[in-house]
Amino acid sequence: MPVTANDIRQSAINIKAIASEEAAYRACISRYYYAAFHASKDFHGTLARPGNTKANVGDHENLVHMLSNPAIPNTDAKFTVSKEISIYLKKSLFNRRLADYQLNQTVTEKNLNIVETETNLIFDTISTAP
Amino acid sequence: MFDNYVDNYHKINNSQSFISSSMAYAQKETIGDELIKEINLLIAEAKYIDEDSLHTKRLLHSAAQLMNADPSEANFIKAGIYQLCGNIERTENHIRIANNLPNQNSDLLRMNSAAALANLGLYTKAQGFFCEVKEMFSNNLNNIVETGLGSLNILKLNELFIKANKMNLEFNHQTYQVISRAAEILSNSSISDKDLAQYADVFGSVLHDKRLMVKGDPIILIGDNSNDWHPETVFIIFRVQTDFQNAAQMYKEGTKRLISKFSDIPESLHFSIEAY
Repeated sequence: MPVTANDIRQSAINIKAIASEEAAYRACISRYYYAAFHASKDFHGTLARPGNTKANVGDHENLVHMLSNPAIPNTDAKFTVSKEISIYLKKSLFNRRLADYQLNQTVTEKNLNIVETETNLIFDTISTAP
Repeated sequence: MFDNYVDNYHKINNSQSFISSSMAYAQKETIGDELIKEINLLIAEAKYIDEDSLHTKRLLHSAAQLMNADPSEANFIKAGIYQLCGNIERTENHIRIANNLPNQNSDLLRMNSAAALANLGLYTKAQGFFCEVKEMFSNNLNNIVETGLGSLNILKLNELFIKANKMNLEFNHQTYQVISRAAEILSNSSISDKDLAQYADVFGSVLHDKRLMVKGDPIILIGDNSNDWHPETVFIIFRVQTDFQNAAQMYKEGTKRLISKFSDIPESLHFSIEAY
């Protein structure tokens, strides 16, 4: 059964509700990132034209780049929203990679709270986009 | 973002307080140093104070007592007090007066002026004073690093690190690594310190509007291959004492203002605001 970006975010919320140790905080940060990634990808899909791509990079980096370089006129109300989302998504990706790969760092509930509010920023920005 | 120092995760966070100068007269030294000490304690709390409060009036009265003995220092201390109040106009006015009067240590005054302006989120102006320091290595090395970072003089600091190494002066190795890598990324993207400050000023204006002071220096993180992150990025994070929601809203406001003001924000640079 298909799931949506919102479903993934809800999953992150559910994990957070019971998270009491670092591995769970990390898992939750990762879920929040994927919720943000898919929501951003869906938003990008609503643009009249896809953003300019970046060669030889993965999907995640490319999405940040496409959102940062929209190929729609700057008079299009979604132009600046696209740029705005790219900035939030870039930091989310950085946090996700730290949470998933940098095991020698300490990840706390506070870090998770920051990631959560910044993920909500992406969802709120998209939901209020023209 | 995460707090700890480890390999591949670069972070700098120094306090951005004023630097107490040495004074020639015993009584003056006592009053001036005590005032600077008190100002530094208040800066460490990273909270603005009420300009109309009795506390502020007492501080200003004490500063006025120094006016005859050392008008330059007295004016600078007044600048520090108005900085704590978040009063940009009066802070800049007293900094200007202090720097135009004879004083015993012009370079120290310039460093302190840079610190005061950076605390108000005026990074371009802060950089100006930092760059005007003539004999940089006559200052305490930690002060150079703190003030340089506080005013986001990344490339300038890197140059100083290189000079310091040649002079066998010891800097914090980890700080050196972060600055060196950040400078490399900025240079590769043709971003100057002035560019950096222009962008930072936008976030500074948001913080000032909300009457929030950055807690310590901005945090600098490096995104690169060592973090499983290929696009080279310098992340600059302003930490403030507020709740997560408010910090996120200020991050949004800063981002929107940045996009509105600059059509081409370099992808290798990222600014955000986080709750401390």
